[in-house]
Amino acid sequence: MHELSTPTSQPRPIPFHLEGAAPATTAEESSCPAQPAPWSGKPYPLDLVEERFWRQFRDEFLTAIHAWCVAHADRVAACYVPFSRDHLRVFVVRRSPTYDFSLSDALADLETELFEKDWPCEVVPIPASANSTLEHYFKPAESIQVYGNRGGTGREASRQAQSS
Amino acid sequence: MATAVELVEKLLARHNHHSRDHFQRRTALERHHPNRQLNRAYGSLYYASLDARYSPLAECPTAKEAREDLIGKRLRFIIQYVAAHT
Repeated sequence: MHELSTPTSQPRPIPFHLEGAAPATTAEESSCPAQPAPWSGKPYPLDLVEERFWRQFRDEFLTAIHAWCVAHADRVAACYVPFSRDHLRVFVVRRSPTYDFSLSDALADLETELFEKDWPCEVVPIPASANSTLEHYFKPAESIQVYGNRGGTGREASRQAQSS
Repeated sequence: MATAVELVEKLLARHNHHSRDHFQRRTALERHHPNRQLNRAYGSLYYASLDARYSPLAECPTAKEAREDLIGKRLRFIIQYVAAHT
């Protein structure tokens, strides 16, 4: 039985990657060999439902949010989707140090877009100063980072937007 | 924001919907009143209320912005929309 090595880094959000992009992993994640799923030889209906759910979650929900963030990269520094027990929440870290009225319209439109895709969720903007204190809003280690860099100045997100 | 919540609840009561929280209210509004301007107006007031509650003062809307934009435009639109649909 393979024993997992002791993690050397702090828990962090799971980075989201569009299909085809190489996922970034930590050293301990890379050293852990991939294991075949225990159910891989005998698919149960529940597994198929779960697989379909995650595929739709990625292709319809996360991808739409990522595309929205790229389109609003000048105003969005980062974006996270925590694993929630009640309903889906999307935390958007804005770049502006002051209240951004133009972003609030776009955020409301994102909520509408996701509702129309049958992915109702609550979009929550958080101020630029909160990018290094995300723990006040949700558990970063139990979330998916859809866009941007935690604790960054926003320049990384700009580069990401320009290269997309 | 409290005024906007009361107005939206009044609007949704016509559909026999009563919300327990913001998420229920927002999704019900999308379902029963898929009006982009209404959802933008309500969304903006909600986001501003979060800032007012949790953010540093420097990152909140100014008094002038609150008076002219949030109240003068967005809340005003909600008042007019609800009056026309109830």
